Amino acid sequence: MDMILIFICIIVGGLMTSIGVHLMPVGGAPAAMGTATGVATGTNMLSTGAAVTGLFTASAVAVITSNIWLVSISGAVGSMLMLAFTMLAGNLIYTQGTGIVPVSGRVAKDPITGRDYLPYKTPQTDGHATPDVSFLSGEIGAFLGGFGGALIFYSLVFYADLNMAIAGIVALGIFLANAVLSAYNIGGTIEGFHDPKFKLLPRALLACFVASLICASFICIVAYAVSLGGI
Amino acid sequence: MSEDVESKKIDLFSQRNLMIITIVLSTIIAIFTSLPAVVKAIGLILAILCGADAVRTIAHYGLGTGVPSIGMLALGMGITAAFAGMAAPFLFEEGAYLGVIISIILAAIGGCIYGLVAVKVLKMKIPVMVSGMIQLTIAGTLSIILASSVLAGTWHFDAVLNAVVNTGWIGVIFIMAAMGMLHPYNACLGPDEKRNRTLVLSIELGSLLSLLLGVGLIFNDLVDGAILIAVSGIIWVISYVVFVKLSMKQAYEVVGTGLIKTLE
Repeated sequence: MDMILIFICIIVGGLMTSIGVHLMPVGGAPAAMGTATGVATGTNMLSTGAAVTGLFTASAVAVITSNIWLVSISGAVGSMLMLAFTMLAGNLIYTQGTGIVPVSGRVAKDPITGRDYLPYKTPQTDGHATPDVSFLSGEIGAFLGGFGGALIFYSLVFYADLNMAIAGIVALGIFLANAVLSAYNIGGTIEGFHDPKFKLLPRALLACFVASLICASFICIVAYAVSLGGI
Repeated sequence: MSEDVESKKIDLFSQRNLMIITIVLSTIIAIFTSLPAVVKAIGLILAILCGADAVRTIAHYGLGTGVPSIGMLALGMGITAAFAGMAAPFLFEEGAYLGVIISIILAAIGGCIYGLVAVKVLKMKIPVMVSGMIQLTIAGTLSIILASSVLAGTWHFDAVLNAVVNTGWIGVIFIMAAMGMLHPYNACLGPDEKRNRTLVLSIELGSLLSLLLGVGLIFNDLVDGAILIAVSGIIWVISYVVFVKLSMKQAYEVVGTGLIKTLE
């Protein structure tokens, strides 16, 4: 058991989670009515879905290998797949069902693909669906979030010597604690890295650092006690 | 305005009184692991009630991200503190009951720091954030400990590991306890939100979790499981009926659509 490695992994994982949550396109309740950009759910629900999928793929890989990079990246890929399918399905419903095109509400032109957004935006709304830049931003966010979650999981399994089942649920708990603090920093909706709210990130990083520090010290108590108990 | 007997009973308890009563009772129930499963389930319902009241107090000010986030935070923090407390008895030779106390102290410290971080760093304008967070994380920890204790018979780490975590019940406990705390206020939210209705809904969800735990327990312990299912089923039916009646009484008017038989 390496106390320092547990602390480093949980704090780095928590900070990556925080950045990842800020990058996900979250629309909240307005997006459910098609009047805001992003996926129509809350920040923590979306990040929880991504984290659970990421932890699932990470734990599947952790059974066969103990390579930290393989485990973490497989977690990241699981999260990316989940978010990609969610955003794609949302876009299909918006375009084919509601009949509105994916448009960003914060920028007039897409910063990456250069598509025009302003002419297609319904007046008095804040954009619709998930446009190109938010999709890319969401994928980067899911990569970071899944990587962070899998890193926490890896440290619990291989450094704290916990059972894989307990490591999964505790990693989910730590992930949620960080994701919710980041969600409070965002406060509602965010489109991605081009959103002005993304500049609030340093505050959330400081908050998540403190939160991860508490969780890591709790985990150290568990790991130390379990090693004494011989389980 | 005539009020139900149930609602009058709950109205007697202010938020502070309810918090003290539920936390003390749940802690005492959690410490004595030899109590029957029914008593532990009642402690579990009380712990969830305490959490739902805290969610109501905090979310009243508006969180900006929806009410579910705070319930998830409570259980995310609670599960870490609960496992730390469950494993803590390995550190001492004697005094295994200290595990619950350690869990609660850790949860209180964690909740306090979370509340301070949310207020000072994230600049959330919620005056009750710190006290509410402490109450919420303690409720989350107690509900995890009590629910594990119902299934495993004790909350010691090795027993919980085999009976609750490896069987996957921890997922059910996690999400149902979170649901019991976050759902009542999320469902009753609005200008016409009344405390008694919100808390009755939380009792209903808590008894639903006890019912599920009874289904899990009946394969190991027939008598305890059967009693647990019967008692929590009765509590569930009563609280559900009271909730529907309160909703109808507190609504301006109840109009039937004709599709289903309208209750009067």
